[in-house]
Amino acid sequence: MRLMRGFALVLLAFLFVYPLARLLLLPLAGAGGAGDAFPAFANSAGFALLVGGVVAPLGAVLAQALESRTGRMVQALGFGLWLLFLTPGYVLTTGWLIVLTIPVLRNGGFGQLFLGPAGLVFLYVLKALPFAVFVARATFAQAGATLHEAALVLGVGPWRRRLLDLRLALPAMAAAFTIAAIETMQEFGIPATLGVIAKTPILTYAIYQRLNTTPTDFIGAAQLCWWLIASAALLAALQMVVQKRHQTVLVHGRARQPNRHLPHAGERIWLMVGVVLLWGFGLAAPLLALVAVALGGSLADTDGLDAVPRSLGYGVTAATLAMAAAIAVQKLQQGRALWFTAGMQGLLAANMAVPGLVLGAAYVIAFNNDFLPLYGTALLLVIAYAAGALPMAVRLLGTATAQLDAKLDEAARLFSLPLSTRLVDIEAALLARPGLHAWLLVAAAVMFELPVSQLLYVPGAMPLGVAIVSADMMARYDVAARLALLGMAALAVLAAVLSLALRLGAGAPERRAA
Amino acid sequence: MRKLIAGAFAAIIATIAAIMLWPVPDAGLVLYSGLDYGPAVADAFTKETGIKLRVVRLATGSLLARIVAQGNHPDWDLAWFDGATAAAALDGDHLLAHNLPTPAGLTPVGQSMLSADGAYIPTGFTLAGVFISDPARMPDPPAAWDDLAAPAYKGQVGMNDPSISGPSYPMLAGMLANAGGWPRGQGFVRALKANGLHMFDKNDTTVAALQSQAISLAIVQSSAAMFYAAHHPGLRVTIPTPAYVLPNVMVEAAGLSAERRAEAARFMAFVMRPDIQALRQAQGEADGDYWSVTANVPPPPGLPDLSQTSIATLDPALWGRLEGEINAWFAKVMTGA
Repeated sequence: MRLMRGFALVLLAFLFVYPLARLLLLPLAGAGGAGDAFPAFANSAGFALLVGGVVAPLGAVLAQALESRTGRMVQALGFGLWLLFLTPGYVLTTGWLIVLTIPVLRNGGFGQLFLGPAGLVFLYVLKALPFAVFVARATFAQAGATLHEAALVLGVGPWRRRLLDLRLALPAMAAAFTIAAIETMQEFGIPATLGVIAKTPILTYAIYQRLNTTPTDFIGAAQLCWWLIASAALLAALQMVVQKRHQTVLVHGRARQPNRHLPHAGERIWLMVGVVLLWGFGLAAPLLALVAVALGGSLADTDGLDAVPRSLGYGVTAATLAMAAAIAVQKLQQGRALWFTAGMQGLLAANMAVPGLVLGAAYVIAFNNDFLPLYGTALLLVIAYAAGALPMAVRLLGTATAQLDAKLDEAARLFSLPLSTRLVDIEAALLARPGLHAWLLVAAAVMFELPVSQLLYVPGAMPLGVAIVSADMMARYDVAARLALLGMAALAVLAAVLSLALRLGAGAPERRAA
Repeated sequence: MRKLIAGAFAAIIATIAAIMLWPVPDAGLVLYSGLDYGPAVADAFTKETGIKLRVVRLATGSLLARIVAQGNHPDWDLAWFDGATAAAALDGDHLLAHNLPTPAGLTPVGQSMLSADGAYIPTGFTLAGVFISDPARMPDPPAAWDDLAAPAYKGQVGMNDPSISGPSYPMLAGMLANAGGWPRGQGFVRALKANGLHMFDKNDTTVAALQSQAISLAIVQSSAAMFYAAHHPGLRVTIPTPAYVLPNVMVEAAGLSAERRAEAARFMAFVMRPDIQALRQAQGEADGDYWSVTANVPPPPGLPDLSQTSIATLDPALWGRLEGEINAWFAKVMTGA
């Protein structure tokens, strides 16, 4: 067992830590140009804290509604969040820019507001919201009905019950806050597409400047990445503290789902406001603009259609690798000293904090030589995708796996259940739903990934993100819109098929028991 | 049932992974193209010669970052993009082969673009910055760079960010050169900023701002301006005095085998053939709107004759060396940091 752990640790270090470490240590070799970037850092940190602060509680409230209420409004909310999640940030922003080509809108108060920091925060929040909801849903889904029943028996009032629910979701909210803040700090596509950086400098812009200008200043970019990493490490530490203090544990294998009921009158109003805001401002405006542009030509004129199945394949493969690595990370952390867990979290935060272009460059530098000649292969591209998605996968799985008490496995061993039964019928059955959410989130993120793809894609095999941006560069906006919509449709089909499989898997034992 | 579903899921994933990760045999040349017509020309070359050519199509900035990250262990054979200054910078890092075959039949303008050590060859040219404006909002557009700082154009002019849009740096360099060079030209850029110059990331957002009337004049590469004006007939393109040439160049990675070099030389000659230049102009979308550097190829329809235009060429070695410093300074001026 020790040997297995050691092997897993070495493999993780080699694939995910070594490339980034090699690039980030470049500042030791010489001086770069990182000066004058403090205002940009301050802006980025401010945006990150604001977005995290908005998204974490909002995500928990929406997750609770999705897990405990029923009705069309709730269904519309759930579907809207999935659709929002499947829409890449740069596609969402492009859709809004199409809307804002209408002079009255652009030059009015709305346009002025949207093309400034307010619009930027709005788009950051939109992109981070689905993740915050999904991660909190795992908590509420596993909490079951028992807690609510106990509260009712003890005569706890409705507001107090809600506060207790939110307290239950504190670890998930901490994870959502951390990821939303880190993702906001390292995001570049949305602010660059929106054109806000001319007025409000941000840190990733300073990093891209150093990478996109010849001669490329890798040392300066690495120095600025350390600022991002230090911020991410602080946020990760905060998350660890919250999780350690407020973690709840599921000690039984079969949680009874709470009875979902229709929302009350007051709840219906705020749910309706949420649905209208989500669908109207979050989805309808940019997506309808994209659909209108996409209908400007035919599918036969669409170059690069092969990029859709290719990127779906990359997404599926990288998501599986990232989930396997995430499970390995979780297992490695179990029962280990605090320094080990903290170190692991720090490394994950570093991977997540570094912008994609830097991560891609790190893999080029690490694996483009005679000893490790992986550069130019699809394998390296998939490893880099998985490395970028690993922190997200760990956090998505973390809140769910942390709720599984080790005694479940011990009990199964006492009853001499075979390994396959323990893995498939106990662990996988309990983790299937959050696991599926996590897997799909990673697959979708990889499918539309851009900066790592740009630096690592195999010649002649263009991924979807690059194909969309290439079409945009050639002013073929209709082709870009069709590719984006086809990619989203492919992901929707994948999600539907997996949901069906999940239902079949969950239904089988009940039918037998009946 | 659960075990069956789990088994089927695992089998499907394993099959997909095997298909996606199966190694591709090392086949032919690898072309990094920052130009729209790169893939179409590569297909035509393979069809005619049988030599396989795999393309990586990227924006110029990302393409150069990919080349620099690979350093002296290149995974590419040829690269084709806008900007002799960028090629000169790559040559300064010793990443390029020298003594590339000079294209036959070069015009005097084409001759003036040749590199001293043969590190790159010109394959055509556009203009680094021209003015595209909306006559309804700006009936009397500026004719020269200096005019842009006039109060009449306050808050109405927009341009690309040279840190993001690779070909915009030569335009900025041209502006600075016209105002007295570096660092003397800084005063002119500061005057533009004081006159309300807007900055957007790339051509598409700059011309979108023009379309939505957020600005009345956009300074963009001539190919983007001509292409956009062709699709929006109400707009007007003005070529400023002087107009700075932006060559599209081809470079070859250092250290290729003799066989690869011979194949690369065949491709370089191929792209300059009149019929292939016609293909580039026809299938190159915006990048197809370029002027040839060989005598036997007319410009595509709609491109003006440049014989009466004052054309200037920047020293690629000088301005290539300054790119990092100038872009950093410009970002600081524009963001007020």
